[in-house]
Amino acid sequence: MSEVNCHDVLTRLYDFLGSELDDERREEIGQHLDGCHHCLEVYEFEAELRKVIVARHIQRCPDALRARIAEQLRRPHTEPG
Amino acid sequence: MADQATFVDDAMEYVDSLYAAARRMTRNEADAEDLLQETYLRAYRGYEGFKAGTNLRAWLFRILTNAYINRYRAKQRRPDEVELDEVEELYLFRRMPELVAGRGRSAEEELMDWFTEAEVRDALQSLPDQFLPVVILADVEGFSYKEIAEMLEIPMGTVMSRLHRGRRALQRRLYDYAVTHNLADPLPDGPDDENER
Repeated sequence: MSEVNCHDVLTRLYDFLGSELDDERREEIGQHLDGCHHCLEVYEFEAELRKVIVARHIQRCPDALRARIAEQLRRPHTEPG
Repeated sequence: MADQATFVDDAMEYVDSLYAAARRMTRNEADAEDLLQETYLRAYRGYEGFKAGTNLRAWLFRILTNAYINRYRAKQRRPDEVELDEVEELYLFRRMPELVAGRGRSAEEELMDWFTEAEVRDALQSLPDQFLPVVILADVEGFSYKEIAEMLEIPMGTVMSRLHRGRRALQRRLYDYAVTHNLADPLPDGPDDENER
């Protein structure tokens, strides 16, 4: 039987998501999530929200800028900028 | 000691994630380009001092973030400690329970449809300068609190406090967008910081 309650789990949810907890605490929270529908729902929501944020944030460096940087670094003895 | 000759290939591997971070932090294209170029140049010049085998990605993000802080935000240093309990967590979830509970199995897809690319980017860029870098480093790039504390040379408690407040501010902004999409009800007028519970 897990000893952590819902409050403990929700307070540590971001730490859990970010893998900031030691094994013991991870295990405790994992067990709680297995048996608690509400906390699992919150966890899934926050985990998905984070994925959405990452996916929407991702932005490809424009080719021109990429080329400019690479060229700048490969050209010796110049002091750009 | 690392070899400068291999630097370009190794470091260019991270150009997209560094660029995206620079865009969010500077909030515009021209400054992001300058910041990214400065980051790579500084990294190149310092590469001999970089220990091979240590985390190149973390090192590049450290240079980027510090260049950003020094360049754009040097004036804004001020104490920002708060008690963690002051800041409410799970802002969105608490306010959209029916919607969250009503999601089906394809939840992720649906959640992805809640917010457009422009909205998520704006929400990130709306974060105060103190919070934005730590949110990007932790929640987007997945660096640990400890790594971020070392990068920014601030205590771990400060990292956690900024993250806490940054996440909350981000969700508050996303909530506004949820309202415009009729996914959530407008908040009643008045201070939005009242703690229910």
